[in-house]
Amino acid sequence: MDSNRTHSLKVLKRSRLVCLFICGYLLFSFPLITIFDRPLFPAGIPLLYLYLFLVWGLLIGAVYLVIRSRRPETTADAPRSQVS
Amino acid sequence: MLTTGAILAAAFFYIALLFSIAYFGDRCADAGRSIISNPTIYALSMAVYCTAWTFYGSVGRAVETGVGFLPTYIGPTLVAVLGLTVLKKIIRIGRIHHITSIADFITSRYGKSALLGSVVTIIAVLGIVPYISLQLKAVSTSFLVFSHFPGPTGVLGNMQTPFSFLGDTAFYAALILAVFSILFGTRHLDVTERHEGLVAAIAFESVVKLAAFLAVGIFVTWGVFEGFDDIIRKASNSENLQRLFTIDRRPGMYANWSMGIFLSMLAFLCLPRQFQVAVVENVDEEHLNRAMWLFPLYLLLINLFVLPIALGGEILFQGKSVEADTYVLSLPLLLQQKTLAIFVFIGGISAATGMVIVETVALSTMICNDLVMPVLLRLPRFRSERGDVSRLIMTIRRSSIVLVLLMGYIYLQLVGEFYQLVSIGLVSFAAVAQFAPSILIGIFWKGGSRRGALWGLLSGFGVWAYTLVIPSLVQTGVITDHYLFLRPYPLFGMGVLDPISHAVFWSLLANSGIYLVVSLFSRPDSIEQAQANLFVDVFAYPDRLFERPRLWRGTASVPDLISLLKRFLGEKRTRKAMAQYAWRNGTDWHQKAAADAGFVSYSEKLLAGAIGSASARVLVSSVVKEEALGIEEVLDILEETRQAIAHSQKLERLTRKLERANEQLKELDRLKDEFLSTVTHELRTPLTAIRSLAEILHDNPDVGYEQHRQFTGIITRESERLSRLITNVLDFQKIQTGNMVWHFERLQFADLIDEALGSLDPLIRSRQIRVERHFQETIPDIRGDRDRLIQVMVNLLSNAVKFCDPLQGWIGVTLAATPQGIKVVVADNGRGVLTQEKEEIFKDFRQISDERGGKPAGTGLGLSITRKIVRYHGGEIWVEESPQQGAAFVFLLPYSPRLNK
Repeated sequence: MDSNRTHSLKVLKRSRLVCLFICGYLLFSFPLITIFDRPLFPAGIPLLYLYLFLVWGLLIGAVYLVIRSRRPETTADAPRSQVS
Repeated sequence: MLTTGAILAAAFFYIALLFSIAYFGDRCADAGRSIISNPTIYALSMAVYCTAWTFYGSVGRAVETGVGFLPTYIGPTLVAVLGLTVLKKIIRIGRIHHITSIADFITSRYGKSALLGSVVTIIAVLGIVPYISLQLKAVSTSFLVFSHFPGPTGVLGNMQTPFSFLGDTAFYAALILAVFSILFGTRHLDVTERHEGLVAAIAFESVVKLAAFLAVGIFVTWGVFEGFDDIIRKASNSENLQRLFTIDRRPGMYANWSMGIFLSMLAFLCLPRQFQVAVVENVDEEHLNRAMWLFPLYLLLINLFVLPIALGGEILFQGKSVEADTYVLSLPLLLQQKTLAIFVFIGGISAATGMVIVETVALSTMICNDLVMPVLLRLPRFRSERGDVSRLIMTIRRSSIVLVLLMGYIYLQLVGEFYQLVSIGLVSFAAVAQFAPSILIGIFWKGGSRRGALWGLLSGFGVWAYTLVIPSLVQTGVITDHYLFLRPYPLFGMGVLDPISHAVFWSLLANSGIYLVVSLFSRPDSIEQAQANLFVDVFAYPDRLFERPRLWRGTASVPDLISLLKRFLGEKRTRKAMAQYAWRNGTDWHQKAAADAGFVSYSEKLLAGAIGSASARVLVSSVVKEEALGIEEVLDILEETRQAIAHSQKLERLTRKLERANEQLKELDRLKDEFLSTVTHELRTPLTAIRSLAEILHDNPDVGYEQHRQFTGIITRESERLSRLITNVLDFQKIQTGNMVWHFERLQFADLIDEALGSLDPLIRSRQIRVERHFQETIPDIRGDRDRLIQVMVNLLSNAVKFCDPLQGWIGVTLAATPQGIKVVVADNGRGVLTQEKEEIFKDFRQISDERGGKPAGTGLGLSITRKIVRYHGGEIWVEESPQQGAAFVFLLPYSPRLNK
């Protein structure tokens, strides 16, 4: 039972990471990148650089969170208080 | 300004520090304490990815193409995100099969063919040598910048001065690196050995280079300028620098950008040094978890200040001929920051040396195991010799290190001077990316065959050489392009992409295309298929299976195998390994003459760790009389194991289910026993009464009329009770077995209640019970079985009669229409039902346990039958508190039931 749960958690983590990979790849590639490829300077920083480093940082943060997650967030199998 | 002596002293001090860290690391490993068994150190050792190319070259690249320096680091970030799917699989395979290098990995996947291994090795060496020369160039250039700054003609001028061996920094750098790699990369030959000291030193170097680069970045951004925005504002004044802020000003750049990310993803997986640190030196798979976010974070940090430094350099060196590749070092020099400059110089050395050390060690393993050993093993003299050859192997490896560094140095002298750092590195990336189809497709697709991999690699490498190397040779004047039938760049006139992306596209297209097509049309032999299964399904089988495989059939003598091991591992290590095996498997070597499959495969793996899987296989099969194991048998064994695992899981589940069912059965059995005794008791009481009264009447013909009447009255009532009991039992049995015949018709439920009340009227009257009816005005008809529903009402009402207050009895009957159906409540003012019994009372054979006096009345079937009838009509029945403190039985019946058994 317990091994089943850790197994499904592993699968879940792996799928989440694959999903993150796809998101990251899309955000870093043509054509999405063209949206930010403009000579604009929010806060004095070129928009393209700001965008790339921001996506990069967020991706790292997301991977960190997924790796750290210990149990599935769904509370479906968490014990409910017994109220009759 | 700074004397050459001071720089050299700093460099030597740093190198000495590295040596001592590596020495300390090895010492700890020998003592059994691993200092590299730490996820952070693992992530840092992966940062060997950042070489002098990153440290010096990124700035040069940024000056030329703006964001063009970034794809090289975004690619590995994305691969790291995929770590659990791809990297973990490669690491697991590497651990199980004792993989020593990337060539070994490919060889082992495709049936341990020595030919494939040597092709991979040759491609790797040819592809990587320029990359190594790049590092040497960086070291020597940084030294020149330091010692000649500010030179009258800038940096490049000095590089072209008449050249002498002994005065050349690159030569000394190569020499020191060779010594380091030999000392810490080829200490001894062993299977489980990792180069702990070497990895510790690499991790340390990663910290140094990051710190140095951040120091320059912070200094330039906030020390020289006033923050990011200040640099960017100043740079935007220049028309020439504005172009760096966006991609699209140049044609085809988006394609180059995406291609760059793609290429670096593949290269990150396929570079021999990355394979070395990530797979071969991996101590624990779990370390990958931290590396997956820490390593990308490292990459992000080391790239953060590339743009400010590049722009700052362009602004400050405007008009001077200083190469952008040296900005990192020449900026602190220009601004008279001696300490910072030395720190940067050391950082640059870290970046360059880390790469060269790991890369030469990885390449030397490949050259030795996959190029030299297969040739040696073909020599009959070598095979028949029985002496210890582990010393010979170490010599081969050490010579390979020297050879690789020498080649790097020669390449630097011949062509290296013509190119920018980054473009040399990208050429190497494109070369090693050729391994990607064989590896990545190979670990997910069992159909990939040895022939496919071989032809794919050869054609990919051929296209790489044709589209990247030949144009550069033409450019440097080594050959002229008159002889070329097909123009190498742009091939078929596809000139949108830059030369690197162009070569990557065509070579990988040829490579994977031919790999797939040849694989689809070739028939792999059994060992190929077995290896393919073991690689692709590495997570499907437990590790035990790989450790003690049955995938072998044949005979071998233990002394033969042992002498083989001694030759390659040496006396001491062989004895240690055998003791380990004996301890784990309980083998007694004195009793054993013929080796079993486990020991043969153990020996092969030991040898594979030392000399690669292809050579190990050749050697082991030379002493083993092997009977060919058909592919069907191999697959059968694997399938059998897999099924066994699946079955055992299924069995476990079934057992649990059975246990539960058994519990229920036991409980039911107990209840049935109880029921029988209850029923017997219930039957016997009226029977006894009837019989004794009948006897009295029979024996005493002269009883009075009054008494006679009384007795026969009792007899009648008791027989009625008997027949009711029997009807109940029969009904219950009928419903239980599904033999009940139901007649559905339209009913007005109010009539039905009145009918039931009518039949109980005498009883109610005799006990003087007050009955209250609350019927809603208009109740829609329902569909149901008339007799059964009357039975329900009678059951509930007679229960109410039975349990209501004996002195001031009260029964309330309510009928109402709800959206779900009609709702009927039968309430009384008896003693009520305990909360814990509210469900129990509806169960078969349950009676309200009676601690409050009186024996349970009835059979324990009435309510059970009632609930079954209600449910059959699609309704539900439950019990609540009555307003008068007693029990209130409530049931809902839908207007037209979906029949529900």
